Amino acid sequence: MSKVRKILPVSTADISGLEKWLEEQANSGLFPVSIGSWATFTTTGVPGTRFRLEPYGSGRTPTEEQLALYRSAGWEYAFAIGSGYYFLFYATDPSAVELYSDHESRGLSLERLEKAAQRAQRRMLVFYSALIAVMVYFLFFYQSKFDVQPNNLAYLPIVLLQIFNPVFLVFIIAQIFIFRKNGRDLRLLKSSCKALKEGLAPPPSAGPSRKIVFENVMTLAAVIPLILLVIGTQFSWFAAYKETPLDAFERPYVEIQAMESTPVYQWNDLFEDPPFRNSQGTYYADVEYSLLAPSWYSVTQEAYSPQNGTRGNVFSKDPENGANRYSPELDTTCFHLLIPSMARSVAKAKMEQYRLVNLRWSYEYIDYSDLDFVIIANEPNGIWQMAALGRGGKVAVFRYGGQEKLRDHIDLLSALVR
Amino acid sequence: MKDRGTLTEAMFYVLMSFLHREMCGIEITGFVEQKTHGRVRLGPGTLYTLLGKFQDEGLIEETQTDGRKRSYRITEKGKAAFQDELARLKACVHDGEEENA
Repeated sequence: MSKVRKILPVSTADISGLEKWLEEQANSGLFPVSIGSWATFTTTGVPGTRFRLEPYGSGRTPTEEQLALYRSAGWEYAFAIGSGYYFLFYATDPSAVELYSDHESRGLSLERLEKAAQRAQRRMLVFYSALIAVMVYFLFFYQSKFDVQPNNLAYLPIVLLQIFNPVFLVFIIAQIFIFRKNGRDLRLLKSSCKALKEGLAPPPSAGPSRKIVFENVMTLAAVIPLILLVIGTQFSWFAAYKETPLDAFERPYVEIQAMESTPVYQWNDLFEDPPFRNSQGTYYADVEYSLLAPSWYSVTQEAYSPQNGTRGNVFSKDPENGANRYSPELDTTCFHLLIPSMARSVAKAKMEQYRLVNLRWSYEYIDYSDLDFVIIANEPNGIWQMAALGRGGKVAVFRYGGQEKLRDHIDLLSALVR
Repeated sequence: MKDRGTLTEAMFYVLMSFLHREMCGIEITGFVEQKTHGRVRLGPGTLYTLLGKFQDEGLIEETQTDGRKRSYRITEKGKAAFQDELARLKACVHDGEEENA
């Protein structure tokens, strides 16, 4: 039996419009077998078939009593539409009495649906309000008790880049779209319900429209890739999202060995045990995506001296028994921004993310040949330093823990923004 | 807008059908059609909706379920609602006849 699929050209809240459209399909020999964002038909339609949408009752299938009553009046149950919407009944007998003999009872039958739609809309509003409140709290008001230099607005430029992540943008656009569509459907349902309960005819059906077809196509077009992207991200189907070993990473970065005046090596070169911090080793890169920063990646490197070192470090293999090993760390984040004027604020935001909150930092701006800006941050008497360099839309931010002075290596570091 | 407590024609006849005995849905349809000489034909959606509403409001109560067949009887509250509506309709008819005389 062949099947025909059609995108719904009417809103599911336009009850009489959808019923009429299904009847037109039956007149052309199509009988519906399922209805969601699109309708699936078999070619077994009988011209003259009437279709009626009945709001869900207390269950997800009609009760035995409902089926018996409707059957006795000449109406057969076809299937349920959506999750929480309608049961579809049909009658091929022209003498079958209409399901509703007055507007008022039809209005009453829609009450439950109207309330369910209102509850769903309210739940969605509460959920998003709570989500926004939590985000605003953490962005502007949250303060760690360990933070000695709080700056609540500092992350905003990075947040802006993250908002322009394609997956997030598609998600937001889809949510706004769905919210608006649900709002419109709810208004239509409420006006129909109100008119019917007052004994009046419901507002006339808008009928099939290209706008609804477009909406349904767009919903499908947005939802399917979004689901794939979200699942794919979780399961690391997209290699670019996961921690990539630096051996396989092709974008430019500064090798920590090039900065160190004493020889240092990767963990794997010195130790047999696997590194304890992550399964990828201590050399890896992460790639992020933003429409505002088409190139945005971070590189993490930890290196180890072959001999016992001159200072302790928490990442030493055995820091407890006095055999501490020198092990510098260099974290790098590079941005290539589409809007160069964002460069300085993005650099500062990344420094804020890199900042270790229980340390007090001092910042220094340096003029350096052809670079737009160089910011050096130090925490006095400690091993940590940061540097941010910018030129045009290119930004490189570094966090370094080790014995070198970042200001002595600006030439080397600036290769990433040239 | 209807006043609180008034019944539609369908509601009135459905409540009326329970006055003398318990009934199931299909029997109600037959009763109303017979009583009104075919003038009022209750649609199954109308009947099913009203039975649910009356049950929720305590105007009728379920007495037994026999497979697909559910029987209901009217409660004291339901009888009072019917009597109120009957009195209202009588007053309407009286007013109309008086004016028309």
